[in-house]
Amino acid sequence: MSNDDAVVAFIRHETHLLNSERYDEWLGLLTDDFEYRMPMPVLRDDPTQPRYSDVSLLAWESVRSLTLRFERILTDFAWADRPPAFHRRHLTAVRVAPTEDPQRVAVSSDEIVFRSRVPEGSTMTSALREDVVDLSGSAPRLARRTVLLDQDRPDLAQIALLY
Amino acid sequence: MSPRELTVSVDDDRFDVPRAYFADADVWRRELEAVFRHAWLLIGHESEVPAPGDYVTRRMGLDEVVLVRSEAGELHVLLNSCTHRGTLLCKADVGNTSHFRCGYHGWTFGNDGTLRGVPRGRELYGKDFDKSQLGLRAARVDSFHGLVFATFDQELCSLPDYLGPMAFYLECILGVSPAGTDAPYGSFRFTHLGNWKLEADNLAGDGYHLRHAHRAGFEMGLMGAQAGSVEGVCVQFEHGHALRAQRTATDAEEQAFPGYPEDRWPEIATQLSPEQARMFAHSTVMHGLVFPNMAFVHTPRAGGFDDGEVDAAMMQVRLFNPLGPDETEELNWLVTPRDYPEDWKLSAFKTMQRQHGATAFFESDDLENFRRMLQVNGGRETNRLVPANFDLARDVAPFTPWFDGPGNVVGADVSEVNQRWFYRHYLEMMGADA
Ligand code: FES
Ligand SMILES: [Fe+2]
Repeated sequence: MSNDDAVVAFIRHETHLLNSERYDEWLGLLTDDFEYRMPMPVLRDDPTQPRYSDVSLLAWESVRSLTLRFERILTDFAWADRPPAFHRRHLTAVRVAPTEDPQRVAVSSDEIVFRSRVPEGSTMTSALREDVVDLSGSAPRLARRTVLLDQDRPDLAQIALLY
Repeated sequence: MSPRELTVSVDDDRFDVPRAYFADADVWRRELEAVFRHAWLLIGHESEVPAPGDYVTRRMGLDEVVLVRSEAGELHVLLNSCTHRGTLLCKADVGNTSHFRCGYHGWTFGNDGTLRGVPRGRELYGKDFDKSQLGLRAARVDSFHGLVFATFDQELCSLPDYLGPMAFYLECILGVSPAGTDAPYGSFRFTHLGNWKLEADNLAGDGYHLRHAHRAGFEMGLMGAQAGSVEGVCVQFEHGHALRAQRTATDAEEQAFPGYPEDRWPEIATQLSPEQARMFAHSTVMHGLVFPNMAFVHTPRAGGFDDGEVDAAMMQVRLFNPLGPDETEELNWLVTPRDYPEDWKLSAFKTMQRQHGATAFFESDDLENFRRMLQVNGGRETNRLVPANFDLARDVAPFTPWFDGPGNVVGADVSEVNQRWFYRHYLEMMGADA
């Protein structure tokens, strides 16, 4: 298996863990300095201008905050997750590219996330995932994930989810 | 639905608000006319439009508006509707421009709202055509410690009079630094299910839900000093505003301002009046409502979420606009002292997004409760038999607050006195029989 194939297999695996709510195992695939970011979509008039804010992050999570987030789900008082929502990430066009750091590669994927729950209804959200995968250890680890939503003024049901 | 059908039973024994107030489209339409039209509405923060020509697009009720800084440096809130045929003029979320040009027939407006250019105007409209009558329609605008408010009601009192003595409390947070305030991470805008008033009444003073709705937060040790030995007050003000303030119960003479850098404490003590400092010292949480649709949550946090982060107090300002009886558009901002260190602002920002932001676990539990009400609102028997009830702590045990502040200060940490105040004022504006 080439290096790139191993990275693609890794991304498929971690996505599968998220889809299966195997959060402990998923946390185990992160580097200690992992960051998860979702910039606020902000539309300017000029189509050549960036479509996301460079300061406003809708989500900015670390390993510790994600751990708390998953721990919360397992308490009896996670009202927003009881009963749970259906959710599934559909990935396509996973691309691997080198970075300046020989130990790390950039992975980008196109993603559709489906979520359904009463009473919020169903949402289907398209996004670009931009990841950095660390290859310095014996197995690949996820070092950074940036989620770029293809949507201006999203609904809460779309953003309160891990992409 | 007529006001008579929406009669509210408010008497010595019961304070019930019929469910129709949270579900009915006619009620929602009347709110826009009777409530939102006659209030100062939050638009944004001055720091979002720092330079001449900077603008952001916002809503006042259902009215689309532009908050823009003119070439002269003044703030304007303009109806975002071309005075020719009414097309939405400015379509972007943010930007900078010296002129707004309509995409339909090309009328052009200066960033102060004046009509500047009408293509072939002299030839087609004649030389007596008076452009000065056709500027963009402007709201009254005023700011309070960086927060920009506007209203189209010419009769309404000034913003300082509208806020009244609530300013005493807001200044405890917004006035700690002589450098003023900043919204360093911009604005967050999203929609969610739920009637806007549920969020308004919750943030006006629902101390009751905390230990249950947010029990996960308490169990996981995220509630800081709110989990300790605390005392609190609910305060009500003219025009429907209300707030809840809680502090660590203490006899200490020395004033501590948790969440603020210790080397700034003397500055805070001089910035605030002695009574404000007494009120704000040892604060564990303060939240409230500027009627009708601006709320704030201020909470100090010991230690950040990640290793090595500084203690930082988080001040989130929120705005909720009803897009319908069931759907709300929310905007929020982190508001910080302008000249505080970057790492302090960053720690406050992470606390906001992880605890009270759109993607945070705290928010999700509140909003879950709000939207689950939608599910029952349609029921005929539910409407008849289960109004929204606000009876908690009608007779609170007298408790002498630790400060002497303005407004109607009720010594009660957990009560529904603020919610009753909010709905009373709201129902009065709605012309309901009570
Ligand atoms: S509608 Fe704007 S110029 Fe005609
Ligand atoms: Fe809450």
